[in-house]
Amino acid sequence: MKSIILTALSSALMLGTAMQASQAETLVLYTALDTADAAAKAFTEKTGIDVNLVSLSTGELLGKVSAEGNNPKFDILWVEGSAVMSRLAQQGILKPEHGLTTKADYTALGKKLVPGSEAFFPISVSTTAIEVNTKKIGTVPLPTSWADLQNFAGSVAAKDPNLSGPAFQWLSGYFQTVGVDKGQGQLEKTLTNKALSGLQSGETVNRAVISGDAKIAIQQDSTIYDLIAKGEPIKVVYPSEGVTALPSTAGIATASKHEEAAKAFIQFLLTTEGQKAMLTTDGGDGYFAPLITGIKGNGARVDNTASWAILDDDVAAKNEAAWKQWFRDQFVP
Amino acid sequence: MARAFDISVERWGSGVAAPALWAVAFILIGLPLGLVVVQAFLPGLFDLAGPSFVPSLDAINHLVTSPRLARGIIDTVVLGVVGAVLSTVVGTALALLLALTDIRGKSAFSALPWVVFATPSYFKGLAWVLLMSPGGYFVGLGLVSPATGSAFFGPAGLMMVMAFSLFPIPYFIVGSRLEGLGGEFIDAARVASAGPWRIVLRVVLPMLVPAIALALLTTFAEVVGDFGIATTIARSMNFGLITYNIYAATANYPVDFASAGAQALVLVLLVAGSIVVAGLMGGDRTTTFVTGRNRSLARFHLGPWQAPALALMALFTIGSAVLPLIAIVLRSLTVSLGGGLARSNFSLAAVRTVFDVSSIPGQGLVWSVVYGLAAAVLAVAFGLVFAYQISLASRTTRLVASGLALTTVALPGIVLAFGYILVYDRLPGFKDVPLYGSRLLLIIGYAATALPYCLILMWSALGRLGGSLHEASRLAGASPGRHLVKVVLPLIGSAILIAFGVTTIRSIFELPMSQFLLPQAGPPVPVVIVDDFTQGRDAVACALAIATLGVVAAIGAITSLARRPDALSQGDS
Repeated sequence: MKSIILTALSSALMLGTAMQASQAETLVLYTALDTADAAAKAFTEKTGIDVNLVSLSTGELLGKVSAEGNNPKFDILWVEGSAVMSRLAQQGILKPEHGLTTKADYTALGKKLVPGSEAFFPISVSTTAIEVNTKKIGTVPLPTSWADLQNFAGSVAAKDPNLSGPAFQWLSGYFQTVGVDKGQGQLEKTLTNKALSGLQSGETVNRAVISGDAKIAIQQDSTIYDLIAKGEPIKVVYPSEGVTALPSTAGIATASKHEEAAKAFIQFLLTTEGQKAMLTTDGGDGYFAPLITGIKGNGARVDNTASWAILDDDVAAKNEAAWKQWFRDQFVP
Repeated sequence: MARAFDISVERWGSGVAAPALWAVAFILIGLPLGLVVVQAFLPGLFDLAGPSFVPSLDAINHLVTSPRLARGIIDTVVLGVVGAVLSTVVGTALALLLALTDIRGKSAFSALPWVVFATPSYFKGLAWVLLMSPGGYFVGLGLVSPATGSAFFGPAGLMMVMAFSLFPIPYFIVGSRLEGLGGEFIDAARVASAGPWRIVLRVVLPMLVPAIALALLTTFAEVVGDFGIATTIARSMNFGLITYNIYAATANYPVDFASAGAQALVLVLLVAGSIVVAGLMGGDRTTTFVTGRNRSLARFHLGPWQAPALALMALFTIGSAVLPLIAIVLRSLTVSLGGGLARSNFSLAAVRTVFDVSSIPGQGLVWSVVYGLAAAVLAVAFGLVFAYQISLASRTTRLVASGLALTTVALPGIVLAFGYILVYDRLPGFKDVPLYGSRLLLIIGYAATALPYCLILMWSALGRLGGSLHEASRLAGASPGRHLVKVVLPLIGSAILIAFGVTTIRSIFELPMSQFLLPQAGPPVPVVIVDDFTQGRDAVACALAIATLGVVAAIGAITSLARRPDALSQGDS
């Protein structure tokens, strides 16, 4: 019996080795973006380089990256939000690739979003705005600012920044715009229903708004445009205080053994061809605002990106733990 | 009546491969869990800058000082106790009804626990959200008012969902014990002029006490370790649970390993504590039923109670399976939730996507079946040998083993999955083994998650075997291996098939392990479903869930057909 067990174990190890070996010449892309699938297929078609996708939500993906620590298994990490990428760059998980995107025909916002470290690069952008269920708010006037959300206290849905990269980008940008103390005060008066204020994902937020559990939500604008395209009774409102850009960014692992192929992939994403492939994506991520000139976003998107603010990643990264803890204590059941 | 596991009154051939089996079990479960839990005390063990062995009790203290975490623990205990009692009552009643009476449609009703068990808890939770939320189908159809819909999301609604969702495990455990009860006890009671109720209350139920205790413990473990209900319906009810809090600690950068470890430790203590209490109360006593001369069970005639019993079963079937399935089917056939059931809202687009094998959902379906079957082969093969070896070991070893199995069954897959990353990507000596990121590791992870269930099911079956069988083999000069193959396997074949089916089904729907051990190619179904939900393609997610349930139903049907109802009667010959 002992020999059977040992034989089974060694067979399993050999099988594992064989499986690994067969994947040796393939890029591994960790991503939280749905657009990655179409982009990867187009890249493979163009270059012949295979891309294996490991797709999870931002929080779960970052949890996996965190557990892998200094032995990451991705070649490229592509997620939404710049603050966490900044931290990964500072920790040496992501490798600076100076000059990688000099040929990219970035929009004005795109150029501003490239970090000084050049350890990660903006691929697409969206922002966080106000999602309104026009059937549920009744005769109350539409909100025009973040401050107006207090009028809908208890009926406002929001994602938990502890679980959502985009939500943390919003929270940081909101504090940057209105100030930390004022921002915290406003949120405490707005997010008074814990069943709605610390949701896990954009979809749970949408479900709450569509079902009528919430009348209004603090939501990523790309997913709002998706709902509008699907015919839901939803409106998007860009608050008068201004919004902060939420770039999707890609970076290459310092430990990557396929650096040149990884660089080629990121460069491909920033071509017209790459962006158009991404725009074929079904679902919220396909409604991003393009960062390459001459490309128009899907659906009813209005190009107002020129007015979007840029997040100070260092401030956000420095306060990340404290702000997330505050949000969790205040608004998460 | 003999005592549990008395087949080894005289130790017989136990343990030639036992150390190797224990080592494999430790690597599969103990090591990954240990690495997570130990971080409650050594929070810097996996620091990027290098391991720090400075101990700290901060994470443990935080469990008490943080109102959110403390409330999560209390809520989890309350929900675990209530859920275990409710579902054990329901599961036991169902097992008694189907095993001891002549209720009509028995075959169809016997499939119900499998259908409910096969539906992952996160889907059952979501289905009730789709049905009962103020914008859901029931409100849309005018069947309930928005106020009633909102009121559903409270303790009473949660209890109802749990009773409807969690009864299969008690049903399987109690039903398995009933299967081996033998008719002689009931016949004796009948001869003594006892009525059906008296027989059930005074003869059957007392003999089922060990199984009921095991069902309570296992279900308590299942409830406290469940992530699906925690993240869906309980979350909607403002009910924070430990598993959700662990998820919150791990789905982040950086991961709060210390908090996850401390809360995982609480889960271990909760379950281990319940096992100790059960042991003190004599809950480990079991009864040997299967001997060389078993009679099959004679059924009680329901007579005038046939119609009420059928009505009750119909209602129960509708609540536990039909309504949730209808909600998922409707969503899979409609473009948007807001569009309700308007004709223009119906579409087959999502279904077509799932059955396109070149699509990610299509690939996920194919790969998950492969993963599930492979994991089942692995878990059942190892579980059978391990369970048999342990059944031949000393009483203390058996108690320790069953305690460990019950304890590990409670731990959410998310903790084990995290442990797997730490072992195979970070731990010196293991990180160079090329398993991390492979499909094989995912299969091993699935098998490890299901292993405690396999062991419990097999021990439950092995515990019914009388000492006379083993004595006969031993006196006839048979080796333990030959006894296993020639005598034990035919008698517990049914339990093996159930374990195979359970492992396959659990693996196909296992969410946390799928997420954290996601292979670099060949995504499994749970990840695709969650990703589709996250990206607003809930129609595709629901269509994929229905298609997967169809596959799982087929596996269940095959398992059911393969079971040999006359297996026990072999003992007659």
